[in-house]
Amino acid sequence: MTAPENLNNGIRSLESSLGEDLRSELQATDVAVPAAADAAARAVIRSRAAEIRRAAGRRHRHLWPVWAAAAALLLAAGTWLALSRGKSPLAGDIDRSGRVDIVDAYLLARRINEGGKLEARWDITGDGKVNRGDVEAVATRAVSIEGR
Amino acid sequence: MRLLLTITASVLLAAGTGDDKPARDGKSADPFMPVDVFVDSGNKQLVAYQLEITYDHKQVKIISLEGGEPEAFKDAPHYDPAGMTRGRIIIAAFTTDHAGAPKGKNRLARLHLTAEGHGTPKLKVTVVAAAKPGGKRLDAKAELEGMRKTRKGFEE
Repeated sequence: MTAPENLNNGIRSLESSLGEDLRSELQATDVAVPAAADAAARAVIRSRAAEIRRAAGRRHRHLWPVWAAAAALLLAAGTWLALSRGKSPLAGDIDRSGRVDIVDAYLLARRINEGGKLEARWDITGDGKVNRGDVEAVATRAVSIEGR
Repeated sequence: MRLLLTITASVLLAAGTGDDKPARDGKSADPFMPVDVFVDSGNKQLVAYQLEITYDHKQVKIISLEGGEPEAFKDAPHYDPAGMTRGRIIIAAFTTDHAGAPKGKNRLARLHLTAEGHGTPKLKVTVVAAAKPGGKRLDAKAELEGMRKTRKGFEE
């Protein structure tokens, strides 16, 4: 026998042991609730529901800085990504170190001497060719004191 | 990872100078003065260097530059002529001749100055970049050496 069946048998046994009057009272379904009590219960329920809604609202209000920070972070990341993709490297910055110095001139000269692949962006003089003239141009930029 | 060096090697060309006091014993200082530029790359070969030299432009003017002793750096370095009178000059040179790239301490350039007053001028040198064959950055030190000539010999 299962547990629910045990429980039902127990209840039936308890009911049968009660007197007839008491059994009929317990089985009565038409219970009259006073209107005042009903209204009071409704008022309590409405009040409590309102409290719960207010508390939930407060919780959401406390989260706004987090949402604002997340939005700002996303915006910054998107902007950085867009700029970095569109940004062209500094002219003459052969090794993309972020500045032009004599090592860039050395690297370009070496690449030209070795007959390696030359990138169009290394045409510093703008004459359509990458050659010793561009090496000189990079070296000149490296030692320029203007704007430093 | 690129190693960017900015090692400042100091440079006081001669001790206790830089003032405007007349030279002792009636010696008058020659306004012309050579200053040697040394770079020490330790036990690594040096194929490229870039130095920044600062000086008091009210006292010093750079007249010319010449190259150094190693064959790979015998030509005058690159420089901006504007730096000869403005108190700051950047000099740089490289070689693709790896076999001739020097190691250790070498005189890689010489500056010719005119200096007003009677003291030996103070200059300061900073290594902006130095590289070994292949272009990898290396740790290097630079220093300047020079003596001012007087009619009775060298000052300090």
